[in-house]
Amino acid sequence: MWTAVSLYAVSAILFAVGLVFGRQRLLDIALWVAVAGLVPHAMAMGVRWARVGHGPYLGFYEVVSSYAFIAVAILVVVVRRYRSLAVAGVIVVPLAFLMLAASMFTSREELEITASLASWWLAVHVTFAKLSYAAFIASFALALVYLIRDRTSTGRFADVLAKLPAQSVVDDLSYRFIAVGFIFLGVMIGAGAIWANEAWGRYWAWDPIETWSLIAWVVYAVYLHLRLTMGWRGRKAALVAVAALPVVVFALIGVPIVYQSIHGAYLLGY
Amino acid sequence: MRAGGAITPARAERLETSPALQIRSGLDEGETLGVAAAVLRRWGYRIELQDGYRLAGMKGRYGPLGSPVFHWALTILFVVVALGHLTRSEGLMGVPVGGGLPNRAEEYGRLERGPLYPDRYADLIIEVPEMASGQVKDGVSIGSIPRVRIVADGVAVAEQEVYANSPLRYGSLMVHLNGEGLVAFAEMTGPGGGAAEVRRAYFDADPSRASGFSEARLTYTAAGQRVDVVLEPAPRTSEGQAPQLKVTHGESGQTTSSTVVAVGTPVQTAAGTLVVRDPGVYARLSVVDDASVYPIYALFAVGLAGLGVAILWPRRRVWCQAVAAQGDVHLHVLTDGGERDAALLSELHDELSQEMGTSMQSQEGV
Repeated sequence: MWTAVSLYAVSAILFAVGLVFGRQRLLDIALWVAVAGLVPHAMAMGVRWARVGHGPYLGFYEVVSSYAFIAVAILVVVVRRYRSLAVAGVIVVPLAFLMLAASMFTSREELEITASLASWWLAVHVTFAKLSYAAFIASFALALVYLIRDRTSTGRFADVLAKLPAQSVVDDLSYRFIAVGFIFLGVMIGAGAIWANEAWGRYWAWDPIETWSLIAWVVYAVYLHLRLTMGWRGRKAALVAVAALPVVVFALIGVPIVYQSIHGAYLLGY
Repeated sequence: MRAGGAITPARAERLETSPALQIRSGLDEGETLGVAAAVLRRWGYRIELQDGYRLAGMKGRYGPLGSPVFHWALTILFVVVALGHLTRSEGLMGVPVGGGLPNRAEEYGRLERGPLYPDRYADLIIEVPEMASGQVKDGVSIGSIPRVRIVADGVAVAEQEVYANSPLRYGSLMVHLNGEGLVAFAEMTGPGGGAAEVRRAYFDADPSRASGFSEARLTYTAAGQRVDVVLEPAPRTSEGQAPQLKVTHGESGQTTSSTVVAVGTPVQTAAGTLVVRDPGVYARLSVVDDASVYPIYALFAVGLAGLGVAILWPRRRVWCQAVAAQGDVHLHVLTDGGERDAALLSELHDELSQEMGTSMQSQEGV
């Protein structure tokens, strides 16, 4: 896993240098280094999965490491479609590096599946959680790129940013990620409720993480209504997309730390 | 024009003044329009050509249904959730292993019922014939697993092992395992004899206490005397010794006596003779009666489907008009998003540039 951390660090540096000096070639190399980092990252997760008998969703180390993986993987998928969006790696890869590096300094205790977790709803709930949060991170990165380019018409960054797809395409892509993430988040919340009813006999208990997941869903519902009903596009939509992500991050990582929650175990252990 | 909607005079006027792609490819208006139609068809639009120089396209025909379906499902969901809370019952019942309890309010240790709960299933008996400890299922340590049986009119109507993620269901009733502990029966016989008053005493694991178990507090009233009794398991002082209990009792909240006795040993109190019998294990069952659960699941699924249609397959209509102008062809494009669909215009421009390049080369090669 340290190999992956190192490769993400090198990639992050290359992205930053490529952006600062306007070298598209460096950005391309940075992306390939990030792809190379995905390989040892995937191998490390796979080996651990085989050893502990469950996927990367128990404990801070596994959860944050898997989100870092998905963030970089989504960046690669998006850049395959829109090559000029590689510059978004300046935001995504350093974020992934910090997440993975931070997780390496936390306890890597191998937590066991307990009786209440032994359900196939766990896989459904966690899969859609990861997909939704990864989509929101992607939309955040795109919205940030939009805003930066909106304010940067001259200077060294402008040359690189000019190679991006049209602002309307960046804006549309950010919206699409939020739209898909919103559906996935809804499925995650619903799957969690169904699972809670199976495990405990109560589909909603206003547990802090349940409540904050619902708040995050409502926040993105506001974004969608502003866009689809009020016609908010471009800068206004990007500002909302950027402001919405901290709610999601708090729901995912902040709530288990701040509150006593039955979900705390997935991040903090038992 | 069924595909995209008729080009009304107003729409035609807007089409002529809408943003245009200036295309220099050697193709005439009809051929240019044909290329544009092919691109739009690849993007999923149903195309209808008109007059040789106009087209209308539409995709996501059912997209407009998505939003009302989602919002109505959500609204009805709120109503059903509210009704569910009003008619719901949820409580914890301690059933001694090897016995059973009637599903009545007084048998619950903790009970929450909505004001409109219809009190169905009051004639059922919930039994726990046996409970196995230290169980492992599919490599996962489950702990104790009771077998729970629901009996109606003397007939077992539902029975299975109950543990996390494996509740027992009967109609709208759902039984989960909430925990386990020790149980004993505390029997108080008044000074004049007669029928004994029997209470169940539950002892749950409590590592903070020296005994490792919580205490059970009972109140008896006999001959005008109210006696409070506190029972707590006591550690055995020798191997093979009968289970011991610390019995503390007093009148009206005042402690008058505390003694450690073996289970089954009579203790004299102000309200009579107290004997604790039949120590055993009990299963703490969570019993929930909520008829709104499955309607909620159904509404959630419907809402999600509506949401998916609204977001992933929104209706998009596009109209194009090709006009020859000074050797070029101007392709006017109008969408139902108006200028807000600049992204579509941009992608159409990129795609047509590639297509026209291909067409040009083909034409030159002929």
